[in-house]
Amino acid sequence: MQYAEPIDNLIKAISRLPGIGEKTATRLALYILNAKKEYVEELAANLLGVKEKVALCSVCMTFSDTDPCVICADAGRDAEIICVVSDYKDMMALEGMGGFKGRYHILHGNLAPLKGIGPEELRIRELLARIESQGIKEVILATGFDAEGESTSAYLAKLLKPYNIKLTRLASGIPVGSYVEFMDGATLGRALEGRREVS
Amino acid sequence: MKRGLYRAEAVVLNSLDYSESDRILTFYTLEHGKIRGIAKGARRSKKRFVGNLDPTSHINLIFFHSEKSELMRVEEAHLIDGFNNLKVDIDKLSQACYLIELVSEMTREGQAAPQVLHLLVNFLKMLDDGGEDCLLRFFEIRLLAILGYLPHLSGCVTCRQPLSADSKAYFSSEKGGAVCKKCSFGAGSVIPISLGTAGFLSMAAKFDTAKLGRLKPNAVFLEESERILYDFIKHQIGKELKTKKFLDKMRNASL
Repeated sequence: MQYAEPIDNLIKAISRLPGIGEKTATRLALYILNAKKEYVEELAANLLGVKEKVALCSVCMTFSDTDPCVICADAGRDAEIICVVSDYKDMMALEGMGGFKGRYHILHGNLAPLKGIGPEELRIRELLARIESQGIKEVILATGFDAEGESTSAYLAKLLKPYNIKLTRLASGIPVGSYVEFMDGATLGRALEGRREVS
Repeated sequence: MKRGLYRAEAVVLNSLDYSESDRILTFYTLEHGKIRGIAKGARRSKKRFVGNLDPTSHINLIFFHSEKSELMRVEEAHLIDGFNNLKVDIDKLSQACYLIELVSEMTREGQAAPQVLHLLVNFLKMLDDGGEDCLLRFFEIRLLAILGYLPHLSGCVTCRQPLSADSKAYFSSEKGGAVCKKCSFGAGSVIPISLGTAGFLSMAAKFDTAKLGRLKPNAVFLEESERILYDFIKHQIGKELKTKKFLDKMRNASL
C-alpha cells in the first residue's frame, strides 16, 4: 500500500532537505496534512517569500530583503572596516555577539581545490571593487580555521597586500572558559604564537 | 578484514560533511590501501579530532571495522604531520590536493600498495618544504609506475621500433604509449611528443625519489609532460579531475 500521490510527492520533496531522511520526511508530511489550513498557508507563503523577497545586498553580498541591507544602510556603523566572512551563518554569529560595529563582506564559500571552487566562484571581485571605491581602512579576515578557511585567508591577504590597507586576521587559540592542560598541540601553538602584551 | 579495532598509518584524501556534525572521510592507509570511514561528531567536538582530519594530513588512525557497514568508524586520529605550510598557501594546497585526488581516483578500495602511501607522504613533504612545479609530473609518472599503468615510452607501442630523431613521434593514451608516425594513423587522438620528453619521463619513472632534485627538466619538457600525462590519466580514470581544473583556474587568475 502506497501513500496517496500528493502525500507521496510531499514526502519526496521534504526528504530532499539536508539532514532529513525518509522517516522524518514522512512524519513532517503527515503533520502538515493534519495541521490547520491557516498554518499550511502561512508556511507555503513563507517558503515562497524567502525565494521571492530575499536577494543579495549589492554592497556586502549578504541575504537581505532590502538593497542595500540594514547593516550597509546603517550610517552609525563604521564603513571603513570590512569583516570578510565565508558565509551568511558566520556573519550572523558575529552579529549575534553584538560588539562589531563595522560592515561585512560575504564570500559565499571558501577556496576548495577538492571541490573545484576557485576565486571566480567566490565574491572576491565585489570585495576588490569595494576596496577600490569606498576608501576602506581595514579588512578583517574572518574565514574559518580549517584548511580551506586558512588558505582562503592567505589568498586574500596576498591579493589585498598592494592596496596598502590594514589587514587583520581573527585570533585563534584557547577558547573562552577552557583550560590550558586540555588543549591539543596545534591550538596551544597558535595561542602561543598569537600571544599579546597585557597592561 | 575481520570485525575489530585496527590501527593504520594514513593520509586523509577527502572529507565530506555528513548529517549534523559528522564527516565521511577517505584515507589511503599503509596497511589496507584506500578505505572510507565516518567520524562521528567530528565537526562539533573540539577535542577529539581538532584539525587532524583535514585532507592532506598524515595521521595515525585507529578505526573500528564491522562487516555490517561499508564505512569504518574512525575512533582516533593522531597527527604525524599536518603539512602546515601547505595550508597557508593556496597554490601549494591546490597542488597537494591534486596529488591526493589523483591517488583517490587511481586506486580502489581493498587493494593495499604501501609504496603509494610512502610516495604520497614524500611528495607532500617536498611540497610543504617548498618544492617546485615539476614535482607534480614526477608524482604522476611514479604513481602510474607503482600502480602498473606506466605508459610505454622507450619505443613505438605498436610496431616496437625505437623512436627515431628524424621522424615525428606521438603519444596515444588509447594505445598506452608512444607511437611512431606510421603507426599514429588510426591510433585515435594523439599528442606530439619529443624524444627528449619521452626520455625524461622514462628516467623520472625509475629515479630514486630522494635524488629527483638532480633532474632539472626544462620548461618545454615539463609542459609537454603535463599535457601527455594528464591526457593519459584522464583516459585511465575516465573523467576530469576537479583539482586539475582548479589548478588551471588559479593559473589563469594570476595572469
